[in-house]
Amino acid sequence: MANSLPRSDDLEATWNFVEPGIGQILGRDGTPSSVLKRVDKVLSPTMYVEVYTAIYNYCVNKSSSTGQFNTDSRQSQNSILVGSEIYEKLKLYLKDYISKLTRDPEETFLQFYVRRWKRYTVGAIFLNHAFDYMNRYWVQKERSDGKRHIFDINTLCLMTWKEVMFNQNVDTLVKEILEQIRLQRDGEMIRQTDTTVAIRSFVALGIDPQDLKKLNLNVYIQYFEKPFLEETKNYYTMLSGEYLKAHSVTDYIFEAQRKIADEETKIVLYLDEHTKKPLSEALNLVLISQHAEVLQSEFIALLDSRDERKIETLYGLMQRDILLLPKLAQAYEEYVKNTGENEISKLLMTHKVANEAEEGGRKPNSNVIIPPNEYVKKLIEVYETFIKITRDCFQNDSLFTKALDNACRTFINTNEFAIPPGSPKSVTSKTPEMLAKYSDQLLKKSSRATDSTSEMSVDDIMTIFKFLTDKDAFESHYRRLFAKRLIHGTSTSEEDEENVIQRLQSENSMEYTGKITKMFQDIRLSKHLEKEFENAIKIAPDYNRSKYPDFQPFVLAETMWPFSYQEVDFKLPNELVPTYRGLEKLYTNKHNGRVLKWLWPLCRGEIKADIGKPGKPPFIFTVTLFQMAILLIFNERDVLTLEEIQDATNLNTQNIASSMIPFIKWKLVQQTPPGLDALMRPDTQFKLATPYRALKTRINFAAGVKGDVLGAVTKGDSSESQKIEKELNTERQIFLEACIVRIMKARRKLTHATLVNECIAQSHQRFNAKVSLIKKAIDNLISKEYLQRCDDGESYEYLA
Amino acid sequence: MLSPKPSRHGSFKRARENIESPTCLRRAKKPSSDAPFRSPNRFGSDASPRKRGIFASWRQSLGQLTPLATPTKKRPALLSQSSFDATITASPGDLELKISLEKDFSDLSLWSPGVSPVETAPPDFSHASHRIFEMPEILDRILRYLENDSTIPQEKARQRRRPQSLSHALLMYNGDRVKAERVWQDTLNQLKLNQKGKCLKDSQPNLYNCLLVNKLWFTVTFRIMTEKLFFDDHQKFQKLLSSFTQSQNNFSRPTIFVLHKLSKLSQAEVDAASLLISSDNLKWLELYICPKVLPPLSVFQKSSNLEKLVLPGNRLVTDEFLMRITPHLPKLKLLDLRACDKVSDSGVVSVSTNCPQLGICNLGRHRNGHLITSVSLVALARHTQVETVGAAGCEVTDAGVWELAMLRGPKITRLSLNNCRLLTNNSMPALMSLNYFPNISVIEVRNIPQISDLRPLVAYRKYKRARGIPILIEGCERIELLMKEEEWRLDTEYNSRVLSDLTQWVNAETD
Amino acid sequence: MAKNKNQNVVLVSVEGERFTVERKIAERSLLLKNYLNDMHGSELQGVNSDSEEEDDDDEDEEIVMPVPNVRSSVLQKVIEWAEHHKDSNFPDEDDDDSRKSAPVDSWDREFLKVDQEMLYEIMLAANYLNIKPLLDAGCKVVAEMIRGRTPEEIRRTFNIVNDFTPEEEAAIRRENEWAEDR
Repeated sequence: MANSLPRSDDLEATWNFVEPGIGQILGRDGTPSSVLKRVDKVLSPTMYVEVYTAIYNYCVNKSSSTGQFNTDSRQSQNSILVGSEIYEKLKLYLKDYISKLTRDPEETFLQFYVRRWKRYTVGAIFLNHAFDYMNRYWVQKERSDGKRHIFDINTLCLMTWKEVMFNQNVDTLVKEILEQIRLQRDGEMIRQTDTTVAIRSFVALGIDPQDLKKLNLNVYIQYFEKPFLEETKNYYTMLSGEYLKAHSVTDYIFEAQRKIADEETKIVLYLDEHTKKPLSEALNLVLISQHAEVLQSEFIALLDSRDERKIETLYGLMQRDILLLPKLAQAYEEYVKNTGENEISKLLMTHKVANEAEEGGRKPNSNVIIPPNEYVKKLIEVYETFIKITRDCFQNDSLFTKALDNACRTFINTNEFAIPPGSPKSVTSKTPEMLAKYSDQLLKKSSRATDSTSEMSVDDIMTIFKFLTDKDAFESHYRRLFAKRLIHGTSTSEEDEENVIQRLQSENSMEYTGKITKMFQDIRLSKHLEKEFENAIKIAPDYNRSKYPDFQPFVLAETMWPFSYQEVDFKLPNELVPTYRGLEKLYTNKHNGRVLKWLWPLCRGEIKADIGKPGKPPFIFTVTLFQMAILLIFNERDVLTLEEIQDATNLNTQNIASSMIPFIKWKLVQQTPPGLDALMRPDTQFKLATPYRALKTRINFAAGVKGDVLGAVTKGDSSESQKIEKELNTERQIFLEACIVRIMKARRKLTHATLVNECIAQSHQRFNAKVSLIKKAIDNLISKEYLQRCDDGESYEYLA
Repeated sequence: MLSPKPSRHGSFKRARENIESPTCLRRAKKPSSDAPFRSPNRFGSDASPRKRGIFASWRQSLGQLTPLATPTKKRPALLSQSSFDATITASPGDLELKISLEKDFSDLSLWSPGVSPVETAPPDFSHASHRIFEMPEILDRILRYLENDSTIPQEKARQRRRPQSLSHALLMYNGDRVKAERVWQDTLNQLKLNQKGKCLKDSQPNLYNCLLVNKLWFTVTFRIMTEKLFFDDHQKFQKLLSSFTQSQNNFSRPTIFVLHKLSKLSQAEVDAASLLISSDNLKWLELYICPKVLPPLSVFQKSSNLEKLVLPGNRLVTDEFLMRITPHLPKLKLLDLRACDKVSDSGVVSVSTNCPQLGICNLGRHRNGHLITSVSLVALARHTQVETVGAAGCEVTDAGVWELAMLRGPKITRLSLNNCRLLTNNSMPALMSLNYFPNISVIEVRNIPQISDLRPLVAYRKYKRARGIPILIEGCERIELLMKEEEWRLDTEYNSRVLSDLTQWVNAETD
Repeated sequence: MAKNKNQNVVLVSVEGERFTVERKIAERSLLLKNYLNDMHGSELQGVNSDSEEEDDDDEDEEIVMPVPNVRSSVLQKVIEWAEHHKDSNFPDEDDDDSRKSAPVDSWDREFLKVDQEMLYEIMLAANYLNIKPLLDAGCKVVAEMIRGRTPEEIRRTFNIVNDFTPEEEAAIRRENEWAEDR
């Protein structure tokens, strides 16, 4: 064996020795393919070691014998190591080898390429190891000297392959690969390994001369990825176009989804990581973005159908391209808004029809009343439907959630009922009022059964509340109704009321529910006061039950409660005077400086009337204070004239008349002469009907009192609502002025635009401030000398 | 050349080899069972009994022979018993000649021919060196082990900073009066003399000597030597430059280039050197206190693998300079710009964005501290991998230190904030108490007037010390005092806790 | 395949002497390791399934590798070293700093206390067989022989011929004054 090794300093001999070995390592054409796979059969250890040793000897001994150095500067910087000649020879050999590779006649270029490539890469590795000595020393030295065109043998093999085989044939190769892919897309079976290997070879051939260890995708991207993406786009553009011509849009949606899934699971197996994203983008572009309009129009139809699966699929498709979503969300918003408005209109229509049927010839334009709970329920129904869709189909995508919110806000506040068409611009929506009434129904104890109330809930209230723009309107309506409930004690329970208040508070602010909370407190304090009073009178020397009847005082803070004080002419009946005096004394002692203003018209009481048939238990009448005063006079006489009543009670005719009407209606009092106009005459006589016959023991006369301040509130009179409207506006004005003063005090000087914006921001929680209102407020303040206009005409300055 | 020693010694060699050769014969079976034979102590019992007597005395002397004293040998002669196969290089003719020459000496050998089955020729000393010294690749490997990186001039590495007074030294060294006084004296002396930082010098110029051995050695050594160029002597540097301009050929492209305190250096000289040093191989570039010069831009443009850039005490380093060079330095890992007081936040920001692998950054200075603010700390924290940050004398605020803590906290190992007068107790004390720096080992907080709460730092130090991890906290006199007090306080608390636990336990037992 | 791991490799020195070692020990030499992995595969590369050839070779217990540049005595020493270090971990090839700074392993030092001839032969063999740790150890030992010596002493130690003319030598000294203390 040793004998066959060539002389170590003889290049030619060494090369000739090594060359057949290289040939065997790389595999010559013509050897049967089975042999090609079993390299070890062909390359015995001896052969391997001999090649290695020959190279070793050559490198070592050449470099030793060129030891005659001189430090002559004329000598160019030759490497003191040896290897370049062998390297060059190897390079030539490789070139030659590769160019001689020929294709079998019955195989395609792709198959040929792949077959050869596989063998070649295996051979390259072996060659690399066989030439290891050169790699280790000479190649490394050259590269660290900056000669980056010298490579280790494996890389050299690859580069040569690229130069000779790849570069010449890349077009054919790519064409065939793409053809294969197309076949697969069309549904045919192909040999996947060939394609995979071929594509991988692109990656392997991308070599960065600077950093051999790093994988470089240049070749892959330029020669494969680009054409691939082009091809993909073309293919799918054509496909989608044709499909849409023949099938419905809904079908297309599913088909597109399927195709994308296919691509992303199967085709992607061929590709390098790097292409995944561009592929998705290309698919999105071609299959989705280019058909965006068609898909969008289908979207509306799908929403109508409420078919969640289809909507979800469509969403899935559209969301792949982020840019498409905003438009879709907008369409969604429109749709929800329209649906909401339509539903309310429909509701309105049904009620109109029903009304007309009932009332017969009434004018069709008159105010149609929709019961609050129906109204609110309908709003909630629409809301719930779309919340579900947003959640299930759009996965609570923020764009869509926002769209939903906007739409809800619109149709809740502005629909045919809330703001009837043709109303003046400044009118406020009816929805807050409706909502307040709804809550009233919920929180009021009612003799009527609970079917309607069981479907109502505080959650519903809160849901709609969030969307109200005129929250202050809601607050004032709610407060009114709440006051009524408190005074009459008709709330279902204190806890429920508190619950609602808590939730409102957390939703909005402390300030918002401030008044309501105070009202609650007042009631509590009043209860304490009641007890105190009880104790106080018990220890008084002249205490007895009849002198001080059961008494429930309600001390209300004047500003918080929605009652206005009116000076009323009234003489308190004697039976009640001690109580009156006692409470006054107690209270003013307790709270120095406070003044109690008695709201006679709001007071109510119960009076026991033993006027029935003998043997029957006495009646208990619930009456207003005025009524009570009148009835008490009947204790002395059976018949009274209006004039006498007036003298006794100091009440005005209107009050007496309104008090009497329920009595007359319920036949407690007989009026002579009868008739509405006779009621006002001073000499009309009133007789108590004894014995009084009525089915129930307890009778409520208070409710029937017209002109009862409390009752008027619930009626929803147009003049009443106008009054409320006006009040609201005034309040808003005040609020805005306070707001502006606050802002200016802090900022001293501001431009008009900034001030307006700040105002809007601060009042946003309560209501939507209109710019005209703000302007008015500003003007007001200027005239009140809180502000002044600056010289530049644009800004305002705060005046201390 | 050494005259050949008498063959007696040679026969020692032979004898040793003979000891080996019988075992060579036994090599037919698996090697593992022969392991005892191959023990390192070959002067032990591996000699066969026959030879023992003869070689006993020699064994001792053999044991005293060190490699240094071994005479050289000619090319390997045959050792195996049977074949006369030449090694690949010696031609048959050569060998026979040698064998005939040696025959005469064989009678003088002290081993009996019958004992050793191997007829080997005694050595011949008048011949050429071993082939190995003619293989440049191996020679290169050998000579590289003669390099001594400790000769690169470096500033003297100090264990601790200088104390500010004797009492400070006492605090620093925990009351060790002797040491404190010594250190304080040294400080005073150093301040007077302003010594040059001494660099360690090896006793012998090993590589230089190898230059002169022969031409091959010269070439190999020269290439090795020129890979690292460092000077603290101006004249030597000038000689290098002239040598380079004359013959550029054999110079390697250096990986290290250090100029240490060459105050007379001129820009022209640095420019001339730039041709030599600009390459992908350059990893470490340092101009230590060479005030009037800057490496030209071309160096940075061509040296994209630069990892260490050290330019302290250089007033020409400006923000603009940094902005121009850093785009070319993506692999920069260490940047030392101490006392470069023209550098401001914008320079640091450009460094941070261009050098994401930066691990060590030192911007400490005595003047112009206002040019570096928290902006720099934030930039470093956000964009780089810093683990050591030097911001001594800069106007950084608590916010900057917080940002550093939040983004890089666990990785920070050394932090210097000496003379950062804007810092308050909300910086290091707060951060340490919240354990934002779990791995920090050096904290420098000298001369920060608003820091008064040292408890978290002292507690941290105690905690780490208890686990055997050394922590260094450098403070000025005031802070060292505070730390001492805190330490005492912590100890007292701990002791009283222990005491109360004990008393509780003791009392409980008596129930 | 587990079998591969217990394979033995037979190394044949230039004189024809056969040395049997475990595959794992033989793989200390990168040359052998590469060959063995290429030809006889690691666990991953199995025998090609669609080959019709006999697979006898792979199933054999032994693989025979000629080592034409190494004499038996040297090969023996190298094998001894490889056996001792069969489980050792060496610093990474590319990590120059740790390779350089690591001191010579004490066993290695004793092991290399042979005459110079053998030492160089071992180094040559290690170079040929691509056993870097052994080569490094040898280089370090030789470096120690060089350290601290003048050029003349170095020449004498290693029997090196001085091929400089006196003028050349003077020129070198002059031109490389800058490196006088390296």
